[in-house]
Amino acid sequence: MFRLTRLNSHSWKNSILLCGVVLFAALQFSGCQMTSADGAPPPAPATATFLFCDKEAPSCDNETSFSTTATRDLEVKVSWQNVPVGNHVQTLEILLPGGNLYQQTQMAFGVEQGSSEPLVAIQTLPVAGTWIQQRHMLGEWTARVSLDGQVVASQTVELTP
Amino acid sequence: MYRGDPVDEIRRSFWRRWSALVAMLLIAAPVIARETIVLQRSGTDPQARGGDATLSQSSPNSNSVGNTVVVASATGANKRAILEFDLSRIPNVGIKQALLTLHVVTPPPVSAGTLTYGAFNVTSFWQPSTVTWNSRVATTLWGTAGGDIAGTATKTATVKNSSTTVQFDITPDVQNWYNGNPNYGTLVKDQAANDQASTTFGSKQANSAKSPELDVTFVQNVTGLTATPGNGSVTVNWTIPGLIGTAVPGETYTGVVILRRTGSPVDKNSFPTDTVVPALCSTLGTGTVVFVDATSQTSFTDNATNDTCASPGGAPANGTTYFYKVFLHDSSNYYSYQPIGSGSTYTQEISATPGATAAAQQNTQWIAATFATDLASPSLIPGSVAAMGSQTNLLFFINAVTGMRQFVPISLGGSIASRSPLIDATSSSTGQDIDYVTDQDGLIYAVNTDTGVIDWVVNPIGTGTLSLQGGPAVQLKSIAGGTNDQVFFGTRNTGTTTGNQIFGLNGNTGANASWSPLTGPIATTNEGSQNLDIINSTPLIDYVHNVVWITSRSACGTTQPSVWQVNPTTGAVEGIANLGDIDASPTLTFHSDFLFVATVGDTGGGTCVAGNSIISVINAATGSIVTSFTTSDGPIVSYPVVLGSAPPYTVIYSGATAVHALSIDPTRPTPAWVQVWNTTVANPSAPISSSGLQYVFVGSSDGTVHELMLTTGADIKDEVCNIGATKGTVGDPSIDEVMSRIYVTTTDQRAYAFVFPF
Repeated sequence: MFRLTRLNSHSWKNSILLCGVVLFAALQFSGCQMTSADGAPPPAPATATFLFCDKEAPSCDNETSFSTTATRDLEVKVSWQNVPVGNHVQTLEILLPGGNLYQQTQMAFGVEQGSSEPLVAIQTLPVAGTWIQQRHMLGEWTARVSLDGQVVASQTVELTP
Repeated sequence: MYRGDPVDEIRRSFWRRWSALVAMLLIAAPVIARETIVLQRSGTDPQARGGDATLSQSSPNSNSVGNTVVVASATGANKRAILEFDLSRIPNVGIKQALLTLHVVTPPPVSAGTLTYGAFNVTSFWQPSTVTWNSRVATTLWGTAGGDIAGTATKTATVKNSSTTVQFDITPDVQNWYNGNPNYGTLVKDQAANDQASTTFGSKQANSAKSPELDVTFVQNVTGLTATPGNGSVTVNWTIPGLIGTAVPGETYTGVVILRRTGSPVDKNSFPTDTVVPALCSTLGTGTVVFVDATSQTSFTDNATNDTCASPGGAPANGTTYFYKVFLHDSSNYYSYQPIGSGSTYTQEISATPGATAAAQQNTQWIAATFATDLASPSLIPGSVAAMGSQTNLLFFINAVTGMRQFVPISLGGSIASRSPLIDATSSSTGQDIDYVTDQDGLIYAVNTDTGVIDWVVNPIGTGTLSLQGGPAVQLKSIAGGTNDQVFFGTRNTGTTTGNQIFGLNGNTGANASWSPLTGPIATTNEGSQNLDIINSTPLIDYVHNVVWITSRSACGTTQPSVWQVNPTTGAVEGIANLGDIDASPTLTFHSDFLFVATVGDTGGGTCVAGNSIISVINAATGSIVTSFTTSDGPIVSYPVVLGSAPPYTVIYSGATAVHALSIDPTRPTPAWVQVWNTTVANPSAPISSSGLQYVFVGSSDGTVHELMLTTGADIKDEVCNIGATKGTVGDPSIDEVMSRIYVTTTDQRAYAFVFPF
């Protein structure tokens, strides 16, 4: 268990270093668990899962392939879990086959104390009549999502004629 | 003979020598570097694009702009200061530090003790004149009331009764703004939930020493960057810029480091580290260091003599395209880029392809970063400005001559997915050089292209947001008469195939025309009420017939209209045509007597099935269909180009695999289409040419711009944008006939300029 004590600058740095070494060593043993200062397990890191949907379709069945002729708008739904209380910014990057950046959007949201509602961020990617359709940008696209600047998850989706 | 006084002669001689010495020192003196600049409203810096306001929780729908901004913490009565700076004075720089200073007008009471305020990066577009606690622009709400901001403060600072200023180091935010993230400014709020204290600061409106200031430290980019190909060589030239700020003492611009890459631009993660001199021939990411200088050189010839690096360095090979990224540095080795983890996307770069003969050589005139994909044809004030949007919500105005930014990109609310019309001041009823822009945040903007100031922004549907895909069309008062320019566009509400809208706005104010909007089902003059599907295209102004032609989708069939003929004055729909889904703008002949329009070619009613486009010719006076042509190369890309001042007209269009030329004389009793040529080009863009020009230019997914002979379709020469590892699909070209240049944007997040003929 950690205990906070008032330290001078030098010993404070040494203590941080020592803590880091101890923590690193502890992590090498699979039987050890990280704990917070009060002994409780630390909060699980935020995770995200993707769902791609044809926006006009009556239901969304977790498809992984969409026709650019038949799809007017593609919805990218990002479901968040374990997001800490407070304000956050989601950055969603849509990458072309080959990796070039097609589009980047940011969305701010807040998580309130005690909130248990599922957190789903929805971004619409227009398809019909866009460059995607006109220039036959077909193949495996990638959606990559970050929370507060840290990449959390990515998922591919296939666009077909 | 006159002989001057010897003493006087000595004095003159001394003065001459002194003057010469001063001149020599001035010439020899290196330019002072790593500059700082204070951005604060003043008599010399109007901070025209800047602004600030107080967001007040207790008056959540009131806009509060005045001589002060307030930060307060009280349950149900919080106040936050939101502010944005005009960075126009430093458009082409690498940011090293940015300090935000707020000047205290009324400090918190002594009893409040020490308060901690946080400066947060704002993540949504807002406008000072309309922003409130609840809404950010017009009627568009914040995602979170009180402002959409980053999860954690970029920096915190303390304030107490004795404070005269509060300063935040917001360097990471400003570096990100220069690196492709939109600049929506900074929000300052109390970190405590309810400390019952407030602080009042001076605002931009105060226009005094109490106004907010941003102290920025930066290194400029080189200017005048060119690359001239030779036989087995490329000569790169640049200019070391003069000061625009105040020098950091003891530092001077001393030279450049040049990275080279073959086939593709040096990527954003490849740069020298500040304060470190990279070794010649070393590899930094995807770039090879081919030139390191600290003697203020302004030229480097990359050839077998000067470049002895091992592969991938070494003498340039004929027929290979080389990209050069040029980092200006100072005597402390600070470089012109943003030193941040996600990579630095903006440093001047150029490319050239050496060849044994002049005909085999090629080079870009300039390359400009756009940070995300854009494939729309750049809009122009020829010889002056090229404008392009991006899908990171940024609008760029590039100096057409130099390729340098006119000012830092303008941050809008959403992705920009269409060409935005640029109107020069002599033609515009606003009296300004102006750009009208639509975005996928559902907003339409009028932007002054000389200052970057957003003159007005409107959410046309009032509440909620709808994506706007097609660009706006502008009917000029200077041609059509009336009281002002009018701006026309349509909505892309994919939730309905019947109820989309057509808008006409006052170009000076953004106010709706008396008839605007037309909402589907729309009453027509002769055809009853008609459904309106989504609009992906930009309307076309027909000055001869005083009509606006609008194309739309039609629920993937021909049971509802896809061509709309709207009277711009009354809004009356004077004609329609049921041709099937259309995504492209129509094209008029030289005398506006015939309208050419191409369908997407899909069918199916409910679920669309791809097919071949049909090009139809409509009599612009009567609205009747004269003739049509069914293509055989899938959907056409964008729009057909119609050339010639009299029939027979040449019609150029791109399909899925080739560029095609047709000939048609619609004035004949039985018009006959003649196929003139077909030239295979990989996944071509919309073509472009103009009457009197011998060439057709078209972008391709092969990373090049193709130059075709108009008469034969022969593919004469291709100019390389990016054919290497990060090869990009090239978008619709623009022609600048004043400068004989072609401009394109690509999926490799850049814009390129070439001289034509290639």
